[in-house]
Amino acid sequence: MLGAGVYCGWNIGANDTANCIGPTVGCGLLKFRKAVVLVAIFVVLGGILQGQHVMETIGKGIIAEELDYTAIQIALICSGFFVTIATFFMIPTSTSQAIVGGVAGIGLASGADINYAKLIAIAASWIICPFLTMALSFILAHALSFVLRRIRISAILVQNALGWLALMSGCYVAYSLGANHAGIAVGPIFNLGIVSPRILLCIGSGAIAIGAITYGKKVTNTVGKGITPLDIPGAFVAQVSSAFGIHLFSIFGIPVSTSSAIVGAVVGVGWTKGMKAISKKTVCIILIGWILTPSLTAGSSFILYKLISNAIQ
Amino acid sequence: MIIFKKEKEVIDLIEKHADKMEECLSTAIKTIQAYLKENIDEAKKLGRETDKIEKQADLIRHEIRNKLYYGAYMPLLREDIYKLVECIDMVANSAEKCCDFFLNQRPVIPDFLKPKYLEAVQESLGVSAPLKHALLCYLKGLCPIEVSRQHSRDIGLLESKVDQIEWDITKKIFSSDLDYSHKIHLRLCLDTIVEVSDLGEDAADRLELVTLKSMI
Repeated sequence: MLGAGVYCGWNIGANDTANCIGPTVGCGLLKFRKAVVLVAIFVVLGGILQGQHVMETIGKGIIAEELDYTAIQIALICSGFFVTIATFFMIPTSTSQAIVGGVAGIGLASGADINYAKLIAIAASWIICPFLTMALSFILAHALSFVLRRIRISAILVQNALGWLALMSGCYVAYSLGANHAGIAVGPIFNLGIVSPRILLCIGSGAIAIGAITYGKKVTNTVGKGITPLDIPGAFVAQVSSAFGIHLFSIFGIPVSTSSAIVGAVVGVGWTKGMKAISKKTVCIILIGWILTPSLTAGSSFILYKLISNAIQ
Repeated sequence: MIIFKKEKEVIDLIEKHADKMEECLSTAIKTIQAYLKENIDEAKKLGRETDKIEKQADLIRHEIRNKLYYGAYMPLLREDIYKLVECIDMVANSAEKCCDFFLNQRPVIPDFLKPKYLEAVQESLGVSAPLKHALLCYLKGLCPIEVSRQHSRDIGLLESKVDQIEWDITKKIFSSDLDYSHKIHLRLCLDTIVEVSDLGEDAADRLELVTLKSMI
């Protein structure tokens, strides 16, 4: 169980690091090595200081019944496996999408009462969120461009300030990642009540930090460089739009994927330079990844749960 | 304002450096003008002055480098800023080199070429004013960024004008009855003059690139 949690945490770190530092590394503001150290520090801080709330609520909501440990393990392993595959192919997918897919697959396999309304709301947010952040970043980029072009202001100082703000927002996203996802990774183990929550959160956030350091570069490059070339103002706009979009969804209580938010925001920044500035191939691969990850996780969880429960019976 | 104190100090130093570059180029023009009027003593004095100003510009450049090294600006911007300062310093260096050519090699400029040489010197070394203006527009926000880019493009046009003058002079040199060695020497002298505007254009291109980076 602990191994599955650590594996899930490692996957989150490997894939979701791009959400924190993709634009910052992509525009050349920081080298990956330095940026990932910041991510590791803030993820661990977030996990330890504020990870408890998510850890206590994870696994509840999509299906009405409490999941047994086998089901949780299957959901974690299947989602982790497909996120690893996505990371290998440099696709910024969402771990939460994969976990939702896994839990839904198990719900179907066990014949549990699935909360379809909630599932549809979550799936709709995966579609709406990137479009929303794309529109936000497009508008914000145009507004910033208007200001920079017409206002008499030291452009180099503005660039410096935007760079710092982009960096700080990256650290904030890393902190939120730790606070939110450390609990996702180790939440099921917390329910067993064997290990103290603080130690569990240390393990969960530590796994995310190690995932970021060891395998985070691939997806970071896709988000920062693969979709569109970014400069400092572009990186700032992408970070802020993504954060604002996520915040909007949070107000309405809809769980949303930070990966889809940042990808949408980066596409929006590229769009301001024209459609030619966006790598359509990369965007298509990402979209396919977004469809396949939860679908395959749901399918594999469904099959695996059926097989194991039949074997036990 | 408390924030970005170090960064503002760098901007002030770059402004000082740009002032020195402008001073260096205007003194170099005076030096060559004095030389063409065959007032060699005055030209020597002004040449030494040009040399001194260029050294002062170098010291300011070192100070800028130290400030950047000790943490002013983010690493990505430091590189851009220092390369820009280096480009501007090279313009001042080339002006000094131009004076050195005249005072060290003493090229004999025939009377029929003197007005054209003078025009080439004034146009080529006159690149300093628009370059400084474009730079300060960008760094200090003296004008909107689009105006700064327009100044950078104007420097490109000025360089094209210098190229045209260079073409005319070269044609005149090689269609004259001068010795071949004399022609080559005059041509070398012309090369050092036009190099100033070439480097000015390089600096303007670098500035435009940096300007583009600060826009979306």
